[in-house]
Formats: sequence, C-alpha cells, structure tokens
Amino acid sequence: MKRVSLTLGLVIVLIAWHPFAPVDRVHGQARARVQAVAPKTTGAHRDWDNTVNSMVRTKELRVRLQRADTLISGRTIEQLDQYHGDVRVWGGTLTRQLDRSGVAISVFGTLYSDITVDTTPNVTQLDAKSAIELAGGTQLGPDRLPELVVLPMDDGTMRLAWAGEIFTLSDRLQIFIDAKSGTEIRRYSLWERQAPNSFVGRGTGVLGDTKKLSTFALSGTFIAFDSLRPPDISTYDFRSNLTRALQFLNGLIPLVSSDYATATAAGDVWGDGAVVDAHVYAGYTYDYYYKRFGRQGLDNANRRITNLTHLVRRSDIFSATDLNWWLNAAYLGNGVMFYGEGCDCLFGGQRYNYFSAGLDVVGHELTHGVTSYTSNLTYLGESGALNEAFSDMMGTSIEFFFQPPGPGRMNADYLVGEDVVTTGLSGTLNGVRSMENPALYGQPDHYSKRFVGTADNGGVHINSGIANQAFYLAIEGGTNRTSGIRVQGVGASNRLQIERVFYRAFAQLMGPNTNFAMARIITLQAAVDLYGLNSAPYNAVRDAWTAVGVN
Amino acid sequence: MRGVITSAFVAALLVVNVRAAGAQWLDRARISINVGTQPSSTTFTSETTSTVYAETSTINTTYTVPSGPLFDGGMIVRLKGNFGVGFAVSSYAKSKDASVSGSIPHPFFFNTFRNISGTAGSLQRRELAAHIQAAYVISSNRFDVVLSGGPTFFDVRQDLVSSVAFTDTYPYDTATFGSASITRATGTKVGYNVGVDVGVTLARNFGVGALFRFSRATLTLPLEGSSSGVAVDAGGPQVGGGLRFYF
Repeated sequence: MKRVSLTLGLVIVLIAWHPFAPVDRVHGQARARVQAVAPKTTGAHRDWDNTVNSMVRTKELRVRLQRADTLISGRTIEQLDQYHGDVRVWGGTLTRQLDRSGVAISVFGTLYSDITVDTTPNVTQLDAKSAIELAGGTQLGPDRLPELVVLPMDDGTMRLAWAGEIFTLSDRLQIFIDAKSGTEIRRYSLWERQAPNSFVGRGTGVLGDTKKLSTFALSGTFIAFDSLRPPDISTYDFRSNLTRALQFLNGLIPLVSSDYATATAAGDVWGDGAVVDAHVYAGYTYDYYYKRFGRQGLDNANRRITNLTHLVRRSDIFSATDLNWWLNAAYLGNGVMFYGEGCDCLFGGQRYNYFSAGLDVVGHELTHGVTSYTSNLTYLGESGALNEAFSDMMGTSIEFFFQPPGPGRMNADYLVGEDVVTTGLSGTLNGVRSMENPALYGQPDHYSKRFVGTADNGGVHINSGIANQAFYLAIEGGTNRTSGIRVQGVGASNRLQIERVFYRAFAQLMGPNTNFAMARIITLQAAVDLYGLNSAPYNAVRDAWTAVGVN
Repeated sequence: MRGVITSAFVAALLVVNVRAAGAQWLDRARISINVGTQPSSTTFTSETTSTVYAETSTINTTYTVPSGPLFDGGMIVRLKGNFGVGFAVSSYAKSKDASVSGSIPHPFFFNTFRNISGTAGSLQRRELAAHIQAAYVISSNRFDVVLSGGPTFFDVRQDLVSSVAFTDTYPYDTATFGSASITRATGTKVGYNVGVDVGVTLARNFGVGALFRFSRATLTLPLEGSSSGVAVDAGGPQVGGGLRFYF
C-alpha cells in the first residue's frame, strides 16, 4: 500500500477511504492511517461494500461473526476484524449490514491502512504472560494466554503487542506488552462498573419483595442454578472469600457445586436478598433482551451468566484498602458479574445497599456483556462513554419493562441505581445518575460541556450523560437545559421504538471506536432501517442528538 | 323430567282404570326384569389445586353424565292386601369426555397465569343402585300397577381428572394442555326412589311391563387436590320395559 499523511489523535476524522495515498513517519516509525467508516450515500455504501469484499478476499478482513438480524427479517449482520498478515489489528473492526440478496445496507467501523509493522515477536507468549502477571501483581491460569495484536498508538504509529487481561484486588486490567521489547506500553481498566431437577423457589429480595427464582435440586438442597431459561444462569456465594474469587477470576480454580448459593430454608425458600436479586434480575435481563429484540443472551448464543455475590464481608469495609468489592457492581467478562456488598454506613451522604438490589444496575452491567460481544466499544474516551450510556439506556429500559413507572423503590424511572444508592443526608440524591437531568449528578448534558481530561478512562462515566440525555429526550421529549432546543419525543407509550433504534445501533451496527458523531449517524441509520426516513422515531433521535450538541 | 311426568300421568290413568275395575292384588310376588335408559343428561364440575412453580394452579373440569342404558331387576312380595315390600337393583354405565380448563402459574412471576384447555377422553361413570321399596299394587285381570317408594343405596364409580400435564417452553408466556391424569373415585350414599311399574298380563304367570322411576342421592367423591371433594348427583329418572313374572 502507498502511504498517506494524516494526523492521528483521539479525534477520528470522517473522510473517504483511499487505499493509495502517502504515509509519513514519526520518530522513524511509519504512521498508519485511521479510517472511520460511516458512509452516508448510496454510492459510498457501494464503494465500501466493494472494498470490504476485496479485503476479505485478501484476508485483510476476516469475518468474526455472522448472524441473522433479529429485528429485520432477511438481513444479516457481519462483524469483520482487520488483520495485518495473521495478526489482528486492535480496534480495526467493521460491522456490515446485508440484505437478503447479500447487498450491503450499511458499513460502519474503523480501519487502519499503511501498516508496516513486522509481525514476528521477540517476546514469547509465555514471557508476555509473565509480564502481565507481574504488572497485575497476581497469577493467571494456564489458559489465560495473551493475544498477539497490532496496536494502534496515540501518535499514529503501530506496535506489535501482546494483549491480555488480568484481575487484581481492585481492578480488571487490559494490559499490552510490546512484543519486540517486552515493556508494558498500555493499560486501562476493563472494569465496566457502576459507582429436570428444575424448581421454582420463593425468595425475598433485598428490598423485602417476594419473587420467584429458578433453582435446581442438588444433593438434598436447592442451588441458585436457573435451567428454565436457555442459558445457564448461576449465582454463587463466595462467603466473603475474596481470595477464592480472585483465583477463580484469574483462571486458577474452577467453581464447584459447593460454591453455589443455596436456599436458606426448607422448601426452596430463599432469604438472602443479595443472592435472590442477583439471580432473578439476571434472568429478567435475559428476558428483556429476548422479548424486545429476539436476542439470545450476552453473545446471542446463550452464553452462560455467572453471578458472584458476597465476595467480601460488609463489616470489613472499614479495614479495606479499596472499596470496589463493597461499593460497586461490575461485568467481569465472559459472562461473569459481581455485585458489591454495600455498607451499613454513609459514604458521601449516601447509603449503599447490596448492589444486586437494583434491576437497572443488573441490567446495566449485563449490557456491558452484550456490548463486549457486539460493538465492543473501547472503554476509553467517547467510545467508553457510549459504552456506559448504552448500559444505562438498557438498564433503564429493563426497569420500564418489568416495573411500574413512577418514583420510589422498585419503580421504573430515569434515575440509575436509585434502589441501591439512597440519600442519607439532606442535599444528597438517590441513585448515581439521571438521564433526565444529568447535571444533577455532575454529568454534562451537552457535548459542549464534555469532559476532556484523562480521569475515569477519559470520562466514561461522565460523558455518558450526553448520550443518556439524547436517549431520554428521544423517548420523553422535552428541552435540553444547555442548548434550549426542544425535542418532540415519541412518547412513553412508544418507548419500544427508541429502545429498538438504540439497540440496533449499539448492538448491531457500531464498532469499537465509535465516537459521538458516529453514534448519531449510526442511530439514524438504525431508525431508517426500522421505521423509515423522517419517521417519528427518526426525527426524535435526530433532534435529540442535535439538542445535546452532537451533529 | 318431562318424560317422567308424562309416564306418571299415564300410570295414574291406568290406576284409575284398574280401580274402576275393582282391582285386588292376589299374587304372592311379582318379579320384573327391565332394560331401558336413564334418559337425562347432567353435568357436574370438579376443581383441583396443586402447587406449580411455587404458586397455586387450579384445574377445573366439567363432566357430563349422559343418558345411557339401564338394566334393572326387582321383586315385590305381598305382605297384606295390596301392600308389599320390594327390592330392585339397577345398573347404569356410560363413558363421556370431560372438558378441562386450568390456570397455570408463570415460572418467573407471581400472579401471572397462563390458561390451558383440553379434553379428558372417555371418563367412565357407573351407578349401581339398590332400591328398597314399599309397594302398593293394584291389579286386574289384565293390568297391574305398582306404586313404590323407599330408600336407595347408591354405589357410584366415576373417573375424575386429578391433574393435568402441560407443556411450556421459554419464555413461558403460554402453556399448552398435554394430558389429564385420571383417577377412579367411588362413593356410596343413601337416597330415595319413587316409581310406577305397569304390567300387562299375557299369560297366567307372565306379562310385560313398563317402569318409571326417579331416584336421587347427592354424594361427595374424594379427589386428590380437591379439599371439598366432588359433589355429584346419582340416579335421576329411569325408564324401562321388560318382562313380568307373577307367582
């Protein structure tokens, strides 16, 4: 390939792909060119389709996933990964929508051209694994081997790197080891957090409500194993053994039957609210995705869902060096969730209950799982904020699907985490975020107010407020407090339309490095696909993005 | 019931006629053998409950007791004058489908029921009745009329739906009736009978006749899953005809 000259940075530039262009060099290294793919015209779509087909033939693009579109019959969604030689290019991913005859309807994603990196590593895979273990301060299981990738760097260069994940006492890290020198060249948190023996048991949730839970009879007792839904949903009780939990997460030990949470009374009666809610709400989340979108679980192939509860003891929070296992919940990858213990105390004027008590919290975290198997939005910067926002959108939508709308406990609203985090002092609020008024919780409600620092992975929990506000306005309508622009929403009774549009965009059409501007284009494409150009949902989504300053 | 009234009316006319002839019963005993029908069709229901998915499931079944064949035989012995005592046995048996409906709890949510319906095939009903009769017999050369009444001992056997099998698959928003489990319930009860038997003599000890009887008892059959059991009516109008023997 010829070389192009292009400035790279965090800003992704929307320009037409051109494979024959010059490249310049930074510090002696060839700079590759990043291409955000979001064609707007029919001709551009056709050109891109041809380009993709050509790259598939040369194996520069390889189909990672091909599945039937569950929202529009006859269509197929393809996800393609970019390769340089036989090495995957990190973040180089396209999502292509095909009609019944195989013609491309849309192509979105990010590609890199002019890659000149030598793909022969000097550092072996096992040495890289050791380096990741050293960086994480703990051991990895024998099957937790890093992947050799071509890693786009911020300065526009490409590096050959080993990519691996590791759980530490306080985090889940993505670490890149330079495959030539063995040094660590990047790390970021993957912790997508938020501050016939089948039986049906009767359980009491954290908030005292009675609910059914799907259980399994084993050795004279009932365990929290849901075999009534297509995927296995298992809930484990670590009985405050964090060390054992970390060993499991790092692949050193498997979970065994004695790790399951069990009924607390005879007759399949469950009194541990944290277990009950984790188990039940994970099932509800699966149900929502299935009934709303026809999606079969996190990976659309009924991947097992594993809930981890009681990793620590509540009362130990006062001697803890890190509060993550108490005051958090997170999707830990591979279908594994953990729910924090909360605390019988005040933090920042708020009280924290068991984190599984919030249906929107559970839905939020499991949606990170959906994201990881679909767009895989990079948990950094704008794509990370979109990742967070999509989890808030779906978590809230799940609430509205199962709970009556209104204020108060166990009701559906646009607050996030209000059933877990409650005000303990005057002047504080319930929940951790508001989609209706993000500014109440210190989030921007407009792109002009976006956070541009490096904290919080580039503000993933901060800038999510912008997309959250767009989602809210598209449904409920109203006026954005910063721009003053009024949006005609589709109305609460038509929320399904906006949920489908955003699901389609985020879970079917987006790629890992999508930014806000691309998200606008892609959600509008989804609205056109589902409801047509200038339909009420299309106009609502368009106006909502405009109102929050994303054009 | 209308047929019974008509029959009773006919019998009454015969009695009037026989009395007009100065009727006097002279036989020591009278035996009757009849075939006929239990002509009315009645219905009854059962309700069973069971725990399904941690909640109460209710199954309602509507049974029909159809008209069906009757076999009857009895004897009356003269005690004094025109009065006598008698004993008769009648048997009725017939099978009929029952319609089943039920509400099946949802496995994931309380107070969310799925409706099912179906048919339980060929449920058998059998009634064996022993009628004790006080009889008043009026006879003439050609005709005799027996007016009778007394207690009846019913023995009832009825197939009942005790539970149903259903199928449901994820997302469990509907359930489909599969099959019904049938249990055979039996019960006994004392009721009553009243009747009219009209005979026509064809030879010295032999004749033919017609039977009109109404018997009734209400009994409760035990059924697993039903705390109060199943209330059923036994008996009803019976019409038949057959041979008469006089001694």
